[in-house]
Amino acid sequence: MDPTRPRPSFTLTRTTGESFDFARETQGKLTFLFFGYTNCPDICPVHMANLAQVRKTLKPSESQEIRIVFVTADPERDTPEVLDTWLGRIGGDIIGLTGTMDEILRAHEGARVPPPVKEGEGPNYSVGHMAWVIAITPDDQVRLLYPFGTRQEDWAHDIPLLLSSYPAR
Amino acid sequence: MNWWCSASDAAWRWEWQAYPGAWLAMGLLVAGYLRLWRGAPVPGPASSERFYLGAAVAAIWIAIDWPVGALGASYLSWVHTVQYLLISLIGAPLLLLAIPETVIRRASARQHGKGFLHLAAHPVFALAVFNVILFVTHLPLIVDGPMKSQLGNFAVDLAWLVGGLALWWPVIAPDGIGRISPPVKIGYLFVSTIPPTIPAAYLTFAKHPIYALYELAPRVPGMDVPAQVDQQLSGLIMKVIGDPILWLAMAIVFFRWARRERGEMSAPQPTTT
Repeated sequence: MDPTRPRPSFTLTRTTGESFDFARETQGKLTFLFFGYTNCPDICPVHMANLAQVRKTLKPSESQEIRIVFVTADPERDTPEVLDTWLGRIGGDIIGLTGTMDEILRAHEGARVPPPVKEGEGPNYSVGHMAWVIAITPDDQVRLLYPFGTRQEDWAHDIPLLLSSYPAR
Repeated sequence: MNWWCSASDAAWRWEWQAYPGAWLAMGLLVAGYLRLWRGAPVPGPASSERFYLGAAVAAIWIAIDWPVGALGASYLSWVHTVQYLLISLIGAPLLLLAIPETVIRRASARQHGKGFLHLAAHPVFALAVFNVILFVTHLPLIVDGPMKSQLGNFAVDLAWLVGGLALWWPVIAPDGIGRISPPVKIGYLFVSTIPPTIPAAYLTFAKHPIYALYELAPRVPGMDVPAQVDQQLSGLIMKVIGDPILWLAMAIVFFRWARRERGEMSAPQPTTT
């Protein structure tokens, strides 16, 4: 990404109920930030599952320098329990964040991500959201956006490079 | 409406979809089979042959139609392997067993018939055809390329059927057209379990998913497994289910051979005076 920009700043709530200051909690770590929703039929589970799987293949020293953060774009249905169960099924120690709709919108704004758009009526509505994973390197700069279609071998190739090329300050 | 199962970006839904190409293919298969009887010296298929035909059509139809065909074409690698087994290792031999010997002999009496059937019964030729098809149709270049289209997926399904017919012909071909004895058939079937170990091992032990098609496919409700596990299942099914099918065939060949040998030994010997 050229030019890069600083690590986004926003505060949401973890599935455990604790407050999570994104900038502070992820500072100095290679962070993959994604905005999605658990009822997503295609992109969200694939992106998260692939990242989680790749994390398992990394060296422990690399894995502990990574944070994967999933922010719900659908706080109405993604209660902490729902989010926790969904992320638990995926594995990979993904941090799930939720909040009120206002807080979620502020988080989108902080990350310079277009706000989510509710599509359809009734309980089975879908949510339009950005399908890219934001990569924030350990030097606290947003450097890359990974589109849907990024494969596990791409992540596995890039992660060690991102860790070694942009160390924490 | 699609005429044949193919790759799709849409989320999977457990709602029946029509694939008219699959119905047409099955119709043509049965029509082609019935056409074999035109001018045949026997009135029609025996009950065992009707059973084999029915079982062959069922196996192939399940493999190419909804839901198995659609899941294998786009969503789950392990279902793709089940399709391969249904077509190549189950449907193809049953189809050959459905054809009576008299019809095969009549075909071999035609100008190029005997040469072709005799060549196809050569074990080296058969193994080469089957394994080239097996390897080529499992290349990422094919699975993530032409196989994503309806025509490409149709071609892969057809290739599996051709590969299966090639594999089984040396075992099922009647005496005089077939070129190998029962013990050699057993050896041939054993050898045929070896090459699939290569793609199966590659699928099972690869560090990352090989096929983008299945790695990036929308998850299937009720069958949601990580792409890596899906691929590992695919490799395991190829061996763990594929090999026993061939072992079963080896056992059948062995016991038929043993029964025939016993029959010949117990038959009254001609006496000379």
